[in-house]
Amino acid sequence: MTANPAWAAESAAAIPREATRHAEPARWLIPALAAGVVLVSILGLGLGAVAIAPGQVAAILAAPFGLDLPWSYSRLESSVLLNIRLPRVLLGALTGAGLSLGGAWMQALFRNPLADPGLIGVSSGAAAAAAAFTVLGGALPAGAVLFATWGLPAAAVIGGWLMALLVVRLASTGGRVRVDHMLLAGIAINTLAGAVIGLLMLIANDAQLREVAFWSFGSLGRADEPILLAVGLTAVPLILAGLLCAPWLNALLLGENEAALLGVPVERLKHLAIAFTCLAVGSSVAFTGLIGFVGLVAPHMVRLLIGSDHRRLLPAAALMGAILLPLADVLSRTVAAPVELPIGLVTALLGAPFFLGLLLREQRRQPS
Amino acid sequence: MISLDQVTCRRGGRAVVREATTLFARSEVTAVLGANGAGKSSLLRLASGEWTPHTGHVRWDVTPLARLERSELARRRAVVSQVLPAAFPCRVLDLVLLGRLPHRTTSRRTDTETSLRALDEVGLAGLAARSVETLSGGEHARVHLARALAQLSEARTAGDGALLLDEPTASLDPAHQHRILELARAIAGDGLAVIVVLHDVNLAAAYADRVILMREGGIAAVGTVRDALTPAALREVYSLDFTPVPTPSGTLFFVPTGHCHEPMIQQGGTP
Repeated sequence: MTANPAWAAESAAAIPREATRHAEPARWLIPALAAGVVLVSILGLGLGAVAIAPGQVAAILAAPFGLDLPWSYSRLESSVLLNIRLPRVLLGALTGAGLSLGGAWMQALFRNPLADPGLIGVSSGAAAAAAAFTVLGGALPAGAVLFATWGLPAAAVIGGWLMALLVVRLASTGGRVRVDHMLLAGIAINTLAGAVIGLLMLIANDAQLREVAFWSFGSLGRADEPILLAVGLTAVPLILAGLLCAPWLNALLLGENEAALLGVPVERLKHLAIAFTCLAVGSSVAFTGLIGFVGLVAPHMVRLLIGSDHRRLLPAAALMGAILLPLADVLSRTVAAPVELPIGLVTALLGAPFFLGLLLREQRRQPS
Repeated sequence: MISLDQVTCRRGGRAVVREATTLFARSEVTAVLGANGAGKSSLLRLASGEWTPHTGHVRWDVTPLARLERSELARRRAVVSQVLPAAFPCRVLDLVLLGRLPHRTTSRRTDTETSLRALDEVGLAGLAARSVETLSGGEHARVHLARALAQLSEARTAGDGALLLDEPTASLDPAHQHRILELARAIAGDGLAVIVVLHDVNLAAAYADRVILMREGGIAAVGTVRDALTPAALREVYSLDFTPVPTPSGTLFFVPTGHCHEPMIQQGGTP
C-alpha cells in the first residue's frame, strides 16, 4: 500500500486559494449559533408590552435557583417573564429546531437543498385536520376539559401523521419507498388538503373562519407548561436520535445505490427520516399552527456556511431554527404592537425574499 | 472468492445476464469486456451484491452473498460505479471519509489517516482540503477510487476483499488510465480480487490476469488474455476485426483492422 510514485509530483501541487472555499468547515459556527440562541432568548424574554432589561431577565431566571442577582424587578415583570414569555421562547426554540431538522432530513432524503418538511404532507395534513376540528368539532360531544385543551392539537398531529403515511404508502412499491414518487404524491396530497381546507372555510362561521386563518399562519401564543412539556418530550429525544443518523445521511448524499454499497440500510433510513420529520414537525405544528420557510431556509443557510457534513449540519441547523423562530416571534409581537402579527406571516415575509436572494446568488455563481 | 453459478438476472422483462458461471479469484485482475449493452455492468452489480439474481447463486467463497451482513460485506468489497454521484459541496477528504462508514469501530483519527493515504495512492493527497465542486471529471473519478481504497484498507491488510470498478478509465487521459490500472494490479497484489469493466481491449490485454468477454448477457469467452482475446472471439463480441500484434514487453496489442460487420442496432428496436 504505497503511494503511486508517478503521481507524487501531482500530489504535492499547490492548492489554489479559491479552491479551498469549503476546505475548513467554519468551526466557529456552532458556538456562534449557540450564543445566538442565548441572545435571541434574552431579546424574546425582554421585549414586549412590559419591557424587561437583560439584567432583570437574568435576575428573574436566577431567583428560582436561590441566586440573588443585583437587579431589582417587580412581581408583574417576574410573572410576565416566567408565565408568558419563557414558555413562548422555549416553544419557539423547540419548534424552530424541530422544523429545521425536519427540513435537513428531507433535504438529505430528496438530495435537494430546496426540499421542505412539508413535502411529505405532514403540515398540510395537520392543517386540514385542524380546520376540520375547528369547523366540524362543534358537532362532536364536547365539554370535557381535556378535549377542549388537547382536541385541536391531537387532531392536527393525527391528521399530519395520517397524511404523511398516505404519501409514503402511495410512493411505496415492493417494500421500497421511491423518493421521486413521494415528491409527486406529496404535491398531490398537499393540493388535496388545500382544497379540503377551502371547502371547510366555505361552510365555517366568522369565528371559525378567523380561527382557521389564524392557525394557518401560526402563533406561539398558546405556549404554556403542559404544551411545552409535550413538545419538549417529543422534540428533544428526536433531535438527539436524529444526530446519530448523521453519518448515514452523509452517505445518502451519494445516492441510494452508493449508500447501500457502503452498508447503509437505505430503506430503514428513509423510514426513520420520514418518521422523525412526522414526529418533530407534526408535534410542534399541532400547537403552533403552520409556520413556513423555517424548515427550508434554516438548514439551507447553515449548509452555505458549514457544508453538507450532517455531523455538523444537523446540530447547526437545529440551533439556526432555534434562533430564527423566536426572532420571528419577537418581530411579530413588536413590529405592529399592540397588534400581534401571525408568526407564519413574518417568516414568510422575511423567508421568501431571502430564499429568492439565495436562488439569484446560486444563478450568478453558475451562469451556465 | 466471488463466484457466479448459473446466474440469470432480468430487468424490465429482459435478461440482462443469462446463465453466467465464473469465478473472480483472489490476487487476480479480471477484466470484463463487451459491446454496449452486453451486460458488463449488470454482471458487476450481481457480483457486488447490489442486485440479486433471479436464478442461480452468487457466493463469497462458500457463503451466499445475500446471507452476508450488509456492513460486513461493505467492509470487504468496494465498488466504484460507472455513473459517479454528482458532487455536493464538501471537502475531498470528507468524500473519501465516507468510505470509512462501514468501519464503525475505528477512531476518527485513524479514519482520516487511512483516507489521506488512499488519496495519496490515487495521486490526490494535495487536494484533500479542496471542495469536490472544483474537481475535474478525471479527478472526481480518482477521488471515488480513493473512497473505495479507504473502504478496503483493512481488507487489503487481511488479503481478503474485492474491488469492483465499472469503467474507471472512462473520463481519464491515457496516462491516468494506465496509472489506475497499475493501482488495480497493486491492489490485486495485496490479495484482493479486482474486477474491472473496460472498453479498451488493449488496457485489458496489458493489465488483466483473466478476461471475460460478454455478449447479449452471456459469457462468450473467458480465460487468460491469450486464451480469451482471440480474433474470432473479439469479432463475435464486437462485430469488428482485430489483429493481435506482439509488443516488445511480451503482451499483445490489438489493432482494429476491419470494418464493422453489422449495422448499428438500436437497443430493443429494429435497425
